[in-house]
Amino acid sequence: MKDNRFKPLLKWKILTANAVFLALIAIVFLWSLENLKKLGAASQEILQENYNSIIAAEKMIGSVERQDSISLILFSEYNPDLMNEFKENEREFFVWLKAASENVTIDGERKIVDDLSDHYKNYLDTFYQFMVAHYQRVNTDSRRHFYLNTLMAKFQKVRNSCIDLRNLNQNTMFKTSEQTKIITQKSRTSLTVISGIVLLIGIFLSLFFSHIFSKPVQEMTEALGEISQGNYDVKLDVKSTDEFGQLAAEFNKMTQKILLYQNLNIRQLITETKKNEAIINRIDDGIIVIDEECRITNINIKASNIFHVSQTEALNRHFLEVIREEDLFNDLKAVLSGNKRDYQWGEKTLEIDYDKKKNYFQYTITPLYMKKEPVLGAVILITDITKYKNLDKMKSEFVMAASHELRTPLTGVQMSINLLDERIKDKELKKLVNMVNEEINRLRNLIEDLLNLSKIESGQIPLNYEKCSLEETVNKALAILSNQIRKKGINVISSFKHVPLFYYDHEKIVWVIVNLVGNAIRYSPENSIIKVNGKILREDCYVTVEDRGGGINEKDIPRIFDRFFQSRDKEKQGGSGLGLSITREIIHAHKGAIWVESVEGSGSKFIFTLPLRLFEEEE
Amino acid sequence: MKKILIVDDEKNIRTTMKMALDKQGYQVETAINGEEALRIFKDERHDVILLDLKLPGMSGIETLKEIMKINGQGPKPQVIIITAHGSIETAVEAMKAGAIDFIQKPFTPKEISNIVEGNINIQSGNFIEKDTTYDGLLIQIIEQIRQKKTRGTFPQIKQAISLAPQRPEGYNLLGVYYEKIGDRNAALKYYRASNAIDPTYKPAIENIDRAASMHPDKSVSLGEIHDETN
Repeated sequence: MKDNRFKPLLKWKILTANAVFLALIAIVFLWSLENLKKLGAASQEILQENYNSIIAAEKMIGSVERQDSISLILFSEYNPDLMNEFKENEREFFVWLKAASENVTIDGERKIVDDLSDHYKNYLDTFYQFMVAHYQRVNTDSRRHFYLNTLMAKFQKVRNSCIDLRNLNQNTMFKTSEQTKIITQKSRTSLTVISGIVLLIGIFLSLFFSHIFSKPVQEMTEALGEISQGNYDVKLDVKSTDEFGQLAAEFNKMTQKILLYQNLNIRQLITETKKNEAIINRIDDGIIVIDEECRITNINIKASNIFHVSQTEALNRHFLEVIREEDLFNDLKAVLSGNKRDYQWGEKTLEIDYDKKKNYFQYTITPLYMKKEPVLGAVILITDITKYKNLDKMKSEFVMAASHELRTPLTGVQMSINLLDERIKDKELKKLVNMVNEEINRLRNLIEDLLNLSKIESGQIPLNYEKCSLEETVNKALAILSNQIRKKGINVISSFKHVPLFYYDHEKIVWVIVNLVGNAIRYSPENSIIKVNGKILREDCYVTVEDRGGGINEKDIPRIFDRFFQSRDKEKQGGSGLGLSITREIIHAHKGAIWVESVEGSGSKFIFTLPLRLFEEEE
Repeated sequence: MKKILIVDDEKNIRTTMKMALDKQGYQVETAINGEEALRIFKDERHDVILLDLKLPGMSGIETLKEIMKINGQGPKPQVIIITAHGSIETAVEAMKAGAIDFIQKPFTPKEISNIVEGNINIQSGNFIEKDTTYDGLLIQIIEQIRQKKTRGTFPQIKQAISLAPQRPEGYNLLGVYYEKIGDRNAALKYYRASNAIDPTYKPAIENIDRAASMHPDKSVSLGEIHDETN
């Protein structure tokens, strides 16, 4: 993969440059061929000159032979026309002789031309001497004799010289032509061979140089690749002193520095990591760090013990593979998806068998994120609350036992006072007895509420999930309170828009609504309105109970659900002070939430939520 | 004169209960613990026994079992359990051992005389169908409820329960009785008792559901006998 990406570009550039170079050679080669052709053409010129000489020789032969014939005829019978013709040919001869002499191109040709000129002059001199001195005086035979013995020999000499000239030129022409052909042929062959050799050498040199150029670059590329892989311990061999050599030397310096820096950083990092690990492992709470894909990136000893996994096994595995706690996982998902910015204590409790007994844990989930970026992961902190849970259980059990024990003396008191009541006729005394009875009833209610609260707190009253109609539940509660509602002339308006049937403990929610509406009635002015509403928001059912009473003092709001909390308005007290505590416990047992919104002077609004469980679930 | 035995380790409870019942014209005796109760019962054979479950030494349940043993084939005493622990489960164990009813602390003299009166009539035999079986009684009770004569069925229901306190049908009908006379809390108490005795007994479950969720249109579940036998 990597090697394919790094194509030796430099090599190709050099090869391209060489290709241009080779192309030039090819042009030179072609040009040579062209020149050779021109050379051939030059030979042709020489041949043309020879040919001209031959023509001249031929013409001269013609002229001299004509003169010879004319002289022969003249010797028989004089004719001035012929004489003129003779002279005409003489002129012509000289024209061609001049041409031949001007066209001397071959060794020995000059001598032949000179000889020819001498011979011809000699021939003419001999002819004209004879014509002037002897022609009139001698007869035809003498003339013939002269011709045969003197003139013909001279003519022969001229003619032979002409023939010599012609032959010389002919031979030369032939020879030159042959030689040119051979030379041209040879040149072509040699040129081709040389060009071929030059081409081969060029190619070889190109390859060699491109390799030489690209090799250090490639080595450096490989070294950089190693560095990017994290191996800083690479060194380039510095062989040359050119730019590449300098570059390699600088490169080596750089890697050495990086290596040094890297080692320093790694040591610091390792120290930090070890320190953190030691701290995390020493902490008595379970800590699990999760990345954005729900994989465990860190888990401390305590957490691995809680969930019965080894630290190494748990690392880099999906959370659910290691820890099968659905509730915790769902909360974790909510935090990772950014729906919930922080997950706080006490919202949910895990029950896990640990150290061979049932232990209770609470957890917080803190998301990890940069400003305005998606969640990068989360840290889960798990605290063992078994000790507190056990203490709480002990407390509940104690309260329960105490309440039970209180019942027996209370029975004695109540029995006695009721029997006393039957026997007393005095009105003043009866009033006192009634007061005792009222207080006994209050005590009874208190004991009952305490008992119920303890039972719910210690989980002794399991929730009985049934598919119920919220409207029916509220109506049941209102039926229980109907006397009080009627007495105060209160108008209760309820609405339940689009609330489907869902699973909850009907009786306990009746209890909750009786508590909330009962409180509302107690604090409402006569003939006022109480609103009870139910609606669905996402995965919860929200129920609100709103009154037009005096509201709650801002300072009291955080403590309103505390046990035995009584409002400052002493006159309106009447409950055990445990109603809202019980209510809260019931809602929490349903995994819901409850809170109050109130402005003093303008009424209160109690809101509780129930998870919208549409299907039966295993508890 | 009906004989009543009160078994409670609390002196004041014994005294006030005795005072409340003396006034009603019963012959009342008291015992401080299980052993004493057995000793007195051997001679007197009381009609009604008010028995506290939590006793020093011999427990209430053990005492109850011993009483039943001593009684043998004789006319059954009506044992009413007194409990400080509100849970139905503790009372149900006692019912299975032969108790007929239970009352929870704290109570008033009126509640005590009411529960004794309600149970003593059965023992008195005035309304008792002679030579009848548990199932036969149930059929008669259901028939009477159908004919809207619910008010008169109380003694028969009590008799049925005393014949087979370990079966759920009687308590369910007692719940129906209280529901018809308008005492929903008492009705729920006996439906629950029925359900605790036999958690698979459907009429009791249906009645709890209905009574708790107020379906006025739904009819009560009487638990017909032929339904069971078929």
